Formats: sequence, structure tokens, C-alpha cells
Amino acid sequence: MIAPETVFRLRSDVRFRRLEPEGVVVRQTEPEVLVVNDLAARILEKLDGTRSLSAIVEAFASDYDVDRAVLERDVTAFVGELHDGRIIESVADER
Amino acid sequence: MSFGAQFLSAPRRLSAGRERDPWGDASVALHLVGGPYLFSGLSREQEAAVRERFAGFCSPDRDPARAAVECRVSRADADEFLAFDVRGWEMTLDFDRSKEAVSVAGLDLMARIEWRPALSAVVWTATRGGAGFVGILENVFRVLAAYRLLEIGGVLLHSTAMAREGGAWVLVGRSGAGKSTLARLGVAQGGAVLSDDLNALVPSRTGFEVEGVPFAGDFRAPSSQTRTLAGIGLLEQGSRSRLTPVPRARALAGVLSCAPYVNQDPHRLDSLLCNADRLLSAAPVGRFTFALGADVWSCLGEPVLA
Repeated sequence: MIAPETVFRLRSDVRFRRLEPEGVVVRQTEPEVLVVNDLAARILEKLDGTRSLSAIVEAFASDYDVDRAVLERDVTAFVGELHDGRIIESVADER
Repeated sequence: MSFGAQFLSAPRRLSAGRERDPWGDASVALHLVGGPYLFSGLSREQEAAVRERFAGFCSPDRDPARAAVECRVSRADADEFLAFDVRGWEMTLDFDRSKEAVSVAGLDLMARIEWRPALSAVVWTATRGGAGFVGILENVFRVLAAYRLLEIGGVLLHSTAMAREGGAWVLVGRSGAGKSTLARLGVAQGGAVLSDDLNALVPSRTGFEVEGVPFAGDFRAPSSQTRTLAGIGLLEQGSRSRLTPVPRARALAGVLSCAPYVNQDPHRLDSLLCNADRLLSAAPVGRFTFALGADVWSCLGEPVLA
């Protein structure tokens, strides 16, 4: 379970480029190039090492007309996948 | 497995012995995109083999001061390389990349590419000459050219580049994507192929230029030939011939996945992304599928791309 106050950022061996309406994630250690959809790209843009997970959910809540609990569950699940896939890391992990 | 363990008996010994004797005092300058590339420290036998292999690219000017990239060849002892059965073995290279240098190990070779004071390389081998030596040099040359292109704002791409009138189309795809088949089709229909394996794309005053490089492939560039870039196609399997628009992110992913050597270098990834971004802004990009027997040139001429 990821705590809402957790702050994430891209790992140093990962690069992300936003090319609307999609985004590209380059993972060097695999190596692998992934194309992500618009929503995933928006989440990745916000994982900048300064915003907590709850702040990101808050930002999306104001943009999308969706149940807050559903939004929180989906964003948290996706961020968890990114973390498990070694695309992002918790800022706290690195300290 | 640690760096070079498959190829070298003592990897550290080779990289530590950088000031070893050259094979001789001969040299060859090759006029290729990003060059001239000067290969020095060669024996007469090695020089003759390199000249024969790259005949259309040899330059009379062998002044090191005018070389853009110098590659020095040094002697190594045969027992510094591991012997193994190469039957059925697919040629691979092993890399150790850092911010300052890239070390390369392969069959009967080790090389180190450095950026300071300027891009240069040292190759250690125990191979005296002939086709074996040329193969070793070519393996290093490919990697060196990829890094040199990156340095000047370009990129080396696994691709077929072909032209009929005017500019060249670069059809990007990895092994098995149909590059050579497409090249044969293009030639049969009146076009010319720069290379059906690796092509160099470099920025010019008006956009990007394409140059075939003389490495692997059925259609190797016989000499330096440059064309204006007309467009880029991402090669995909398909049942009919057509060129269709492709989202920019997918185009970038396609280009990155076909940029050998440099696309696995974490220290130079930002440069690659920057160059690829610029390339994709300079020419139309689409997804290209083709069927045998179709008129590939009419498909490439379709004005479907922005």
C-alpha cells in the first residue's frame, strides 16, 4: 500500500517525453521504449519529485468529473505499477 | 557476467595497457559522414585490407590534425582473448559505458572510445590482417560512427534508405522488418538504395540529410552518397502497401528503438532524445507497410502525411 504523502520521481535511468496526445518512456536498464496514453502521460508529468500522491489525486479531481475514491484507487494502482516496474522511485527511498 | 568476460582473458589488463605498441606506422583516412575518420597504427598488411574493404571511402588526406575522429590500433597478445567455438554464434559486442568513455569487447578485440580532448578510440587486437582484421575494425567503426553522429546532432538508424527522384525516404525497422526485401523491391521499380541496413541522418541547413554507411546489408553504400531526407517510415508488417500517419510518440519510440549502440547508453540518452526530436520535426513521418509486387514509390509519394 502506498502512503498518500509519498513523493515519487522518475528513476535516473528513465526518461519521459510528452508528445501529445501520448508520451514516451525510455527505460535503459531493460532496455525498453514504451508509449503511454494521455492519462498515463499526465500522471507521469506530475511525478516530478515535488508533489505527493494525494496532491496529484487532488489535481486530477479538479480536472475530471469522477468519484474521488475511484480516482484515488486508479491513480494509486497505476503509480504502484510504475514503482514495481522500476520506472519511478520514492524520493524517501533515495534518502 | 562482468564486462568482457566472454571475450577477454584479463579485461583490466588490456584497458590498463593503453600505451602499447601500434602494429605499424601506416594509416587510412575514410571520408564518411561525421569524418574524416583516421585509422592509425596499422601494419602495411592491415592498411591494404582496410583500403580494399572501404575503397570508395578512402581519402588521400591523412593528416591527423584534419581528422574529425582518430582511431589508433594497438597490438595485443593472442592469449589476452578467449578462444571459443563461433559456429552458430551470432556476433555480439559487450559494452561498459561511463560518462567519460565507452569500452567495447568482442571477438578478438577490445576498444575504448573517449571524448576528451576529442572523440577518439583505441583498438587492441592480436589479429595481424586480412578479413578477420577488417571485421574487427568494422565492428568498432560502426560503434564509433554511431557516437560521432550523436555528437554532431545526428543519429545512425537501422533502416533502408532509398530514393528515386529528389530526396531519400528512410524506412526504419529492426532485423526481420523487411528492410532488404523492400530495398530489392525499390530497386526493381527504378529506385536507388543508399543502404538497406544502417543509414546516417545528420542535420543540414535545410533539414536533415541521409547518407548510407558501408557496413552490413545486401546493399552496402559503395561510396559517400548524400541525399536530402524526404521522409521517415516506420516499417511494419502489413497485407497492403500504404503509408499512414503515426502519432509523434510512436514515431519517437520507433526511432529510438532502431538507434543502435547509443540507445543503451544512459550517459548519452538525453542527446539521443534531443537529436531524435529534431529529426522528427524536420521530415514527415508515417507507418509504412508494403506488399510484394506493389508500387512502393507511389505509396511513398502519397501526400498523406503532414
